[in-house]
Amino acid sequence: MNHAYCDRITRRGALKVGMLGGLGLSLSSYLSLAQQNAGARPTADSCIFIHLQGGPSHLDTLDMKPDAPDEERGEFGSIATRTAGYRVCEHLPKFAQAVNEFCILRGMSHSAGAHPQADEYIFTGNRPSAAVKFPGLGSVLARERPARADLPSFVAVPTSEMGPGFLGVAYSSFKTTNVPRRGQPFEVRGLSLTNGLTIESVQNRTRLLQDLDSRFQAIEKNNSLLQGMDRFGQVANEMILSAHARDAFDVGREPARLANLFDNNEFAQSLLLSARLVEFGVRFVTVQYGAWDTHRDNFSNLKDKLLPPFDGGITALIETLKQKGLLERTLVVCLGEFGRTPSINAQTGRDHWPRAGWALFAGGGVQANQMIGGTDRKGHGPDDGTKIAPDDLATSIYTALGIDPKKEYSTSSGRPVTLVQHGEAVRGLFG
Amino acid sequence: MKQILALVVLFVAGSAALAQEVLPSISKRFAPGAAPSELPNFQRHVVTLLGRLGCNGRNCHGSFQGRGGFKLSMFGFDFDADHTALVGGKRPKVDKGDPLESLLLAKPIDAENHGGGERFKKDGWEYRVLRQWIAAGAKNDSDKAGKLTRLEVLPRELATDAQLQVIAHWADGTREDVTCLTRFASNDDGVAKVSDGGRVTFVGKGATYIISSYDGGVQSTLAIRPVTSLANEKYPDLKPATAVDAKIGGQLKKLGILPSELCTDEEFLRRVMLDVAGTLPTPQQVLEFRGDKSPDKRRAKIDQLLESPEYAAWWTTLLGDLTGLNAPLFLGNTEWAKVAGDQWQSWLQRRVRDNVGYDKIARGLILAVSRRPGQTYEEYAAEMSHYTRKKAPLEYADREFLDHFWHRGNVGQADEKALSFAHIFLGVRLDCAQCHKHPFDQWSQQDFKQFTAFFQRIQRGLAPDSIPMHAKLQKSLGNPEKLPAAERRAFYRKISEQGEPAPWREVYIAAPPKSPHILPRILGGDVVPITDVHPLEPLTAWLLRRDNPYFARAFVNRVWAHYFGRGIVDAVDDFNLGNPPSNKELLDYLAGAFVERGYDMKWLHREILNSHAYQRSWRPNETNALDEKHFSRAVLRRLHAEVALDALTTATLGAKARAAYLTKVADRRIYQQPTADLKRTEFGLAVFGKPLRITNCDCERQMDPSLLQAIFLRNDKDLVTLLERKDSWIKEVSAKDEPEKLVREAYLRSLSRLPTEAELKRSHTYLAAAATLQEGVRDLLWALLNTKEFITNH
Repeated sequence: MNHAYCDRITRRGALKVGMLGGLGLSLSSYLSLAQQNAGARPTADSCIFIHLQGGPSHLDTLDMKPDAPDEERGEFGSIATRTAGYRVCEHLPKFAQAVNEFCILRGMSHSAGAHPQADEYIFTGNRPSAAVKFPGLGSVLARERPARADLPSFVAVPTSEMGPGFLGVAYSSFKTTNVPRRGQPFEVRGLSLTNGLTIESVQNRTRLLQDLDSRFQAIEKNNSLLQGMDRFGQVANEMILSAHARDAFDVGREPARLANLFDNNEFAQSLLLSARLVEFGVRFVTVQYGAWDTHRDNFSNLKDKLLPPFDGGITALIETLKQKGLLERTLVVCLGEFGRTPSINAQTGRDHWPRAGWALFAGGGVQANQMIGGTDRKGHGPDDGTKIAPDDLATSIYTALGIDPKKEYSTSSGRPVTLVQHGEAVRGLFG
Repeated sequence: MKQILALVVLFVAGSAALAQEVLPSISKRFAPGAAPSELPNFQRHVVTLLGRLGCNGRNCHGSFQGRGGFKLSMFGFDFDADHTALVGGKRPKVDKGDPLESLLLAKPIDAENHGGGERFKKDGWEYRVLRQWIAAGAKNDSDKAGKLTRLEVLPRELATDAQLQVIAHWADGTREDVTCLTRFASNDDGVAKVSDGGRVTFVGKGATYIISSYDGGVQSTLAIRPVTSLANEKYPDLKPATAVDAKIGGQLKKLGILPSELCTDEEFLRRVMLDVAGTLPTPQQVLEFRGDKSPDKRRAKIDQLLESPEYAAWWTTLLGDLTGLNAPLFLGNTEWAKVAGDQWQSWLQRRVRDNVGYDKIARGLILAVSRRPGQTYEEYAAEMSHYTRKKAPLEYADREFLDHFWHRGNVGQADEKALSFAHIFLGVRLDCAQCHKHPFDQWSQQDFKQFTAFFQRIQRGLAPDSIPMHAKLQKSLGNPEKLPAAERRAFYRKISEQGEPAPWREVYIAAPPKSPHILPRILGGDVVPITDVHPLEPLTAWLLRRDNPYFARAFVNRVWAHYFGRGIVDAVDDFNLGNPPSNKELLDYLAGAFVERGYDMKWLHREILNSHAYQRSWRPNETNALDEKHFSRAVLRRLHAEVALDALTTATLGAKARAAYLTKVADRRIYQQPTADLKRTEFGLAVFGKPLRITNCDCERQMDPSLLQAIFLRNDKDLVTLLERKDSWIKEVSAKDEPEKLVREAYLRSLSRLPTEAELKRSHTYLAAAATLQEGVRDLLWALLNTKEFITNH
């Protein structure tokens, strides 16, 4: 599922550029909080963030333009949905019947046209900057609303480029590195005690470790690497002793009536895991899915490989969260880093198009069964009344989760940094 | 580096240029009230002005489909296309008959509803420049602009707030103040900010670069504000130990940063062994080194390590990372994968071991083809069988060229080869220029296309003259390609082990195209005819010229980053004019001397390792606690995946088993090739980030800590096995052993040092309370392996 982009590069390095200040100051010193969160009442306690990696073609999915000129329209037909007058791609039959569960935002627009920058933009709500590395949504949640001590706050299934930015590596995601298979037990290695170890003996040796691991104490406050290791060590200690943690990952224990809702593909199984993790108390799960970077063979890829798992997976997720009674307090967000060009290139593909993408919101206080925004007649850009940028999405997500998007962090040199620099909550999204 | 070249050019062509006055800024020449008679040049003034105003940026008219029916080339530099976009089409942006009605004027002043809002005022200088250009016929006279030979930015270095002045030097000798047409950016606006007009204001302490871009020119200006009051004349007189230290000291003096003390002998030994040999010292080695009274013992240890098989193994792996050695992946786990992978690795290992010049290694990769001149396919297949046969095989490493290099599956296309070449040998990311002008560098899409043209004829598969012989060979073998995969594999393995010719594929040079429509041109250099030679010969000659700005620098910078956790240019694969080295003198010195010594890799290692900079302690002083960029102290680095797993193994094995493990270097993780995918990779290696070598990015190797790593070290079944396997050290512990001795041994075998009094006491207490001495020691070793001190190099 970790697909390389069109340029065959997943460039972690690009996400790190400029992370350190002029002297290479460790930006963990940003951690000193300038102000406490002025408590807006959250409508959600956790978030499932589905990243359609590569950027799905908006025009061939949820923002179809039947009247577009032939050279742009593409080969898919549309079908009616439960919302009168709204039609979606013919290969999304389940979604068409479930549109009332979602708020569909169309005409999301920004200006970062390359994957790493666009990813960073939608993950942080800030246009990438050479000087400050902003933290991803999951890292901020891990910091501001940590999960119980024996679970990671922020899990990536199976992996993600969403990084902790200036919060430091301590707040990076826990990557499951693989995905469950249908009907099989799933565990993250290293969470079971073997070899006759008892809880008491583990606690004993952990205390010994804590006493002996003091070599670098004096430099820890300026060192993101050491802080990260410390934080991960603490969570690891708790998780190893926790039956709850083991249980949280084991989708094999899901009741059949729920498990059967999910097809046997990586996307659906990842979503099943995400629902279970949230149920057990993980704050933020990001699911990374797909090779949506369809510079070549856009239509056959969508039709055969991408849309069926998407259609079944996203609808099963909502149904499961509902049945578990979690939907109300779980914010579900699903989007790609951008849309794709209206014009179809020589390889029957579409290229990057950050001026018009869509995002799905559900659960967690979202006013469902509505559409917000829109694109112009041909889907080239947002229509006149629409102005939705990643900044606005992040602002909305933070607000729903009870985090002040304007919260200030400050550097050791006193430089203030606002969590989301620009942006306003999307009006009407949360009723 | 480009600046150096540009400087040289200027000195050569300089005398005429110096005679001419600097033309004042066009904002003055066209200021309201002035009555200029001159004609603005399309390249020098119009396109750069549009760039400065942001018109050709990605979010505006530079985006893939343009904006509002108007598309410019991203970040400029496609003058013909831009000109057509302005004057052509259904709705031209200029109206030559009635200039004032031109959209190019009406839109930016926002008189006609402009998505980008107001960019300048009506009748301001920008307006007047564009109006004049339109009135004169809106011509594309970019051919008259000539070449920008140099971009001069004054002052050259900043210590206080200042206004930058930018002067363009053109090949025809004209010089012009282009400050108002230049784009400015600060690499760290926590240190200094720069306004759109080029005014620099310090907001913090430290050093950063201000980047100025105009036309194809990019210049960086160091802005430096001391961190302490010790800077410059107040700085103590520290005698530099080596040339490297002199370069670093020069910069620390400007910043007022004092370097840390030298590290202890134990720290040095652990550090240098992990770095050079990928190997944790044994307790005996630590004690011997401690006891060695010779004043030159560090130098002697460095020399000894560079001659060790561990050095050859570990640096082969690091060079394998760089050059993309992953046969199972590229050959689809077929019958050839293991054979080709081993050949590839042995070829590199031989050269690292024998310290063959890095230039020769590069040649052996770049100019590789499978057949020697005049060799037929049959002879080639026969030759290959001599390397694969079981009985007295010839050594593939004897071959001059490593043909598998161009067999890599992810460089099938010419543009992919070009990107990979630039990444490996230049340390340059050309990906941007694949589609548009590089935003922070001089490269345009045309540059990329012409560079790519060199690689067009490098092909893999079967050359036309090989096809009949290949078919004949297949037939004579009974057409094994029709067998089911498993049987086919077994069959090929059998015949290649028997020394019979197998139907290998090959890397070859395709015939030149009849009419090459794109002429190959060296980056920043000349068009080169390549029809008569190996197409990459001219490129290789350029690479190995003494004044090549990239090749040697990219390599010494990577080696430096290995030892310091950070490149002098960082990221190490992102050499561009907007990302200058943190210490230019240091990089220039190392690269220059490396070339002079025949690209001698061991010289380079010695030069770095013997410096005080490398041998400093991680303990900071009052002035350098926050410095991670100027090499004033050792910076903690997490161990590489292979080194970490090997270290866990040697720290836990009993003395005899450890000796056996250490002897068989070729079986260690430090010499392990990657697998086809992460699922086949040893779990621990995957968790600690061993790369698959699939992307053009040094960042593919993960060096960050993670929760999964912490869980692995604490409780993974592989770790439990290491601690408790039959031949483990723990199993050697007997109740009769003296506890204090065991504690010392546990520390030596994991942290490569003796315990402090407090540590000894705490450990002793733990052992005394444990159910058995063996369990106590197991827990102690477990705890030490889980310290941050173990998993980092410090």
